[in-house]
Amino acid sequence: MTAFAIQFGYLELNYLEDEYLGGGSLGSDGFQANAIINTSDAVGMQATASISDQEQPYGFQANRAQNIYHTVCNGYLEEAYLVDLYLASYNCGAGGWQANQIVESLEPVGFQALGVIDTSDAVGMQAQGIIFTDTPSGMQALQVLGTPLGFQATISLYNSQQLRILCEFPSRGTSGTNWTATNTASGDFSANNLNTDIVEEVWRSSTTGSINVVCDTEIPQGIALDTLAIINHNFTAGAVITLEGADNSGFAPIGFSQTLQVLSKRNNIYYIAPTLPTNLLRYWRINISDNSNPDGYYEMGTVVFGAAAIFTLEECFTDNLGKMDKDFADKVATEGFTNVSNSRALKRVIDLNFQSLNEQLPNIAILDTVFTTFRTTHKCLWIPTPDDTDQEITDRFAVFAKLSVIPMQRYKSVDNLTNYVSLDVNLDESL
Amino acid sequence: MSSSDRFPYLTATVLDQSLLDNSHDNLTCQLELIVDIERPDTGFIRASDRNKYVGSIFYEALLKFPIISRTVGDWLVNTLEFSDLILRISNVDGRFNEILPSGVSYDGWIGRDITVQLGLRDVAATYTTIFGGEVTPVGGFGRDVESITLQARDDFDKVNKQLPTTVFTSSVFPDISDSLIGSGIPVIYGDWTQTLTEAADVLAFIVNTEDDDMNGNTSRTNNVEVVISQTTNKTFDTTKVYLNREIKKADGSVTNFHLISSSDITAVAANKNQFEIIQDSGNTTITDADGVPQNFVYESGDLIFVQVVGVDLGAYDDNIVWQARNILITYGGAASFNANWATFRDKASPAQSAISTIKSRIWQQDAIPAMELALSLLEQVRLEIFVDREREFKINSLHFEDYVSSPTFRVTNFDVQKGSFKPRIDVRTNFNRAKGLFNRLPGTGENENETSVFKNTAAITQAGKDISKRLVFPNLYIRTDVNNQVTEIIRLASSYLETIELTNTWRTMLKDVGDFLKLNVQIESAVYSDVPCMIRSIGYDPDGLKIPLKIWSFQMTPFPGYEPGFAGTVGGYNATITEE
Repeated sequence: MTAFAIQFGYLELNYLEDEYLGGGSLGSDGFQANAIINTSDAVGMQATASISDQEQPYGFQANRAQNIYHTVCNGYLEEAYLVDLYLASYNCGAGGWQANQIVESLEPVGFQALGVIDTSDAVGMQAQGIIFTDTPSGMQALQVLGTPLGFQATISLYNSQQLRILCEFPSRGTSGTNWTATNTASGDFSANNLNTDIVEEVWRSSTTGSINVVCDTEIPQGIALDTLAIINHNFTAGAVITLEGADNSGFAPIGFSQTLQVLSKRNNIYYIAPTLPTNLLRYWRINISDNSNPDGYYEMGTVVFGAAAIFTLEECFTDNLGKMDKDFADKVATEGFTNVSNSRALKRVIDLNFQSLNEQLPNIAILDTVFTTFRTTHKCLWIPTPDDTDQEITDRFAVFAKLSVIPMQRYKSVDNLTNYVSLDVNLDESL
Repeated sequence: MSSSDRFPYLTATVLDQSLLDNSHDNLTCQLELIVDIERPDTGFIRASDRNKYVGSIFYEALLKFPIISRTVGDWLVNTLEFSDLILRISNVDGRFNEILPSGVSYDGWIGRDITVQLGLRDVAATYTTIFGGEVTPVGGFGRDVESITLQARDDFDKVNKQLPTTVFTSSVFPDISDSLIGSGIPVIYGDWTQTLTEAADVLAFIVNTEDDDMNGNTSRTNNVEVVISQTTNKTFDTTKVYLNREIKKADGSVTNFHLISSSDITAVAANKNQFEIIQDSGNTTITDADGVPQNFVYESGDLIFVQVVGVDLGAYDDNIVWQARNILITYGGAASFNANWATFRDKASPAQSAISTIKSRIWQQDAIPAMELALSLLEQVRLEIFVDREREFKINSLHFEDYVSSPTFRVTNFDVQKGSFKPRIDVRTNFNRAKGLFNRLPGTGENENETSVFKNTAAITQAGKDISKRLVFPNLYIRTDVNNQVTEIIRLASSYLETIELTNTWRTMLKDVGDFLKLNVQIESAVYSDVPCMIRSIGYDPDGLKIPLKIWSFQMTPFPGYEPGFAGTVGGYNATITEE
């Protein structure tokens, strides 16, 4: 047994031996140890600590001894070698590091790491992150395996409540002729009509019953689906529409399944993923069962899905949102002081107003990408009020539309690095 | 009247007047236009002014439709009116580059078929053609940096091909006189064996006058070769072949027509439009100026006249309606005729409109478009031709007894676009006195006969002066037939025929040229109370699906079943027409 001299007076020689040593300490004591290691046995620690305050929490300080004695190294790690000039302040060998962390709390925890990893050797873990906010945030990782590196992490922020814009449609595959259906009416009703921006150009079945409409995204590693829209369908309120995904064309096993909500107002259907999808699937299908459909067939105009660009939680459009249904009807004023019309189409127009978007945040960059890439020429799916549980809310202001004009962005500059941008976005389904 | 269903057009599968009326009660409908354009490679461009289906065919929004019109033309005006269409189709994305000049599939645009249809929603069965035609050869195709422009004319233009189709040429007739080269070989219809002005009226052509072995320069060994027509004749009376040579006798008498002996008529073609005359046989003798009979031999300046019955039309050889139809088929390539052609062919009463008994004959050597000739024929018996919605040639009648005295379709203020109602007197067809010229002869090219002057005295008194017109009936040759037509025409023309231009709502879209409607409007000072009117032209304006119309108002023109008795009525079916 190694003797300890503890500076209370009573825990030192003459007292700390034999009959004075008890089976345990009754008090809450600090810990002071003055250990003299004079044995060749491996010892784990040497510490010299001074406890001056017996009441307060105690820190811990360890002074590393300059001299490390090793009794089994044949002398090289002992005097006169392991002293002074021969001692380095650090161990340059590659050491391992193992952490066994069990997170038991659901509370948001922060994680902050600043590390520069400049080696390609497998080191078990590499992380590079820059967090410049104190706001509690979750952590998510999207792992894409290209080269086995042990672990790679992309951190993204996902939410299901903010404005989302879907402009890229992996649902259209790489060929554009990537849709099939278990039943299709003869004529210009091909399943690939689902890939056009013309919502009036539809896929149509020849019968009712259970029908699958299948999309092969033609992306081998699959895609993440956080946003889906079926536009201009003829399903009744009693229809059962199911979205399924799989990594094989046989859909065995099914990797994703979700019943979609048929809306009561407009002939559109939406799906908003409640959390960031981690299951990347190549094949997706829409199963339709609507036997009481009075048309005797099913039809869908346009289907788009993929991973949307989503506004972060800090910013949103203002409360001054505009919505208009534009009635395209030709009118004739008659001599009977009455107008007679010939009906054409009803198309939606949405006005979004953005005030003071912080240029440092990614939201204005999302809009910029839409303006410069998709301009006023390509339709995108805009969902100002997504909801992952009630699609009637999602549908309130959703449009599959083009920008009527690339808006003027008004900048308010605070300093060289800080700018705030205000703009109005007008979206028109009829363009 | 409309039911509780405010949107009957959303579920209807039949487009009829009842649906239009019900929809009009709710002030809205859903009528749409589509066009099918034949591509130079294969297939069609299916386009519309909106993205839509008709049945199982998708039509993409690629153009804005112009106003499309169909007309029967103006009465008694010698101008052929076509329906024209100009379409400008978007090519801003270059989708049609392959079928444009220098494109890999380019094969010309002239003659490509264009069909415009109008119907209800996507119900294929409701779509009817409102224009059918082909891309015209002149200016029919054009393009710019954004679009392709196509111009088409209706089927009037397609059948408006020239006749006669063959001319005299030296390659076929090497010994023909230069004066005949390039002249048409006549087309003959009808009976040229009766009601003649001379011994024979049909001029036939000697085609080997330059043959020295015929004309005596060398010998008389060859026969005189004669061509009558390019058409196959039903009959050729070889006993009625006449030499026209003026022989003035010492006593001053002149003989022009000399009978050629049938024994000298030889080599008659199977289709009875060519033959030969044997010279100097002794069978035919011509008494010379000295009274001495001479064997017939050809002399320069000789003309030959024959008696024939032209194209065999069965029992309708001299029926003017059937002749017009045959001309459109033979020379215009027309194929689709409405059934009313047979109805009018067989019309037997009243006398002035008894087409089945009115005789007509045609001898046509000068080039003339087939449609122009057909229109002229029918106009002589107060009929008109137009292309109906079924793309059939249809007859419109101007006979009083064919007018509809109580049309079921009523036009009110609620049908008429504000500011579009424009009535006016048609000054070109208002006259109260006329004379008819008729029976155009082949030899002279002139109308041989004329009628007396007919007049409407009451109309002349009302106008204060006579307004005269000369009416020409080149193909009629029976005087009473022509007298009847002149009388009926004056009855119509002296009634101050009023033309009204107006634009109606789409409730009128099922009407066609020649249809009657009942006008019941009060627009500012213009008051029409259930006046029957005839549609003369109808259009389709995509803006609102308006229907521009030109109609004849018979407000001052009584006809059987309609005699409103307005003061100052001087014309109409029972107006008194007297012969001067």
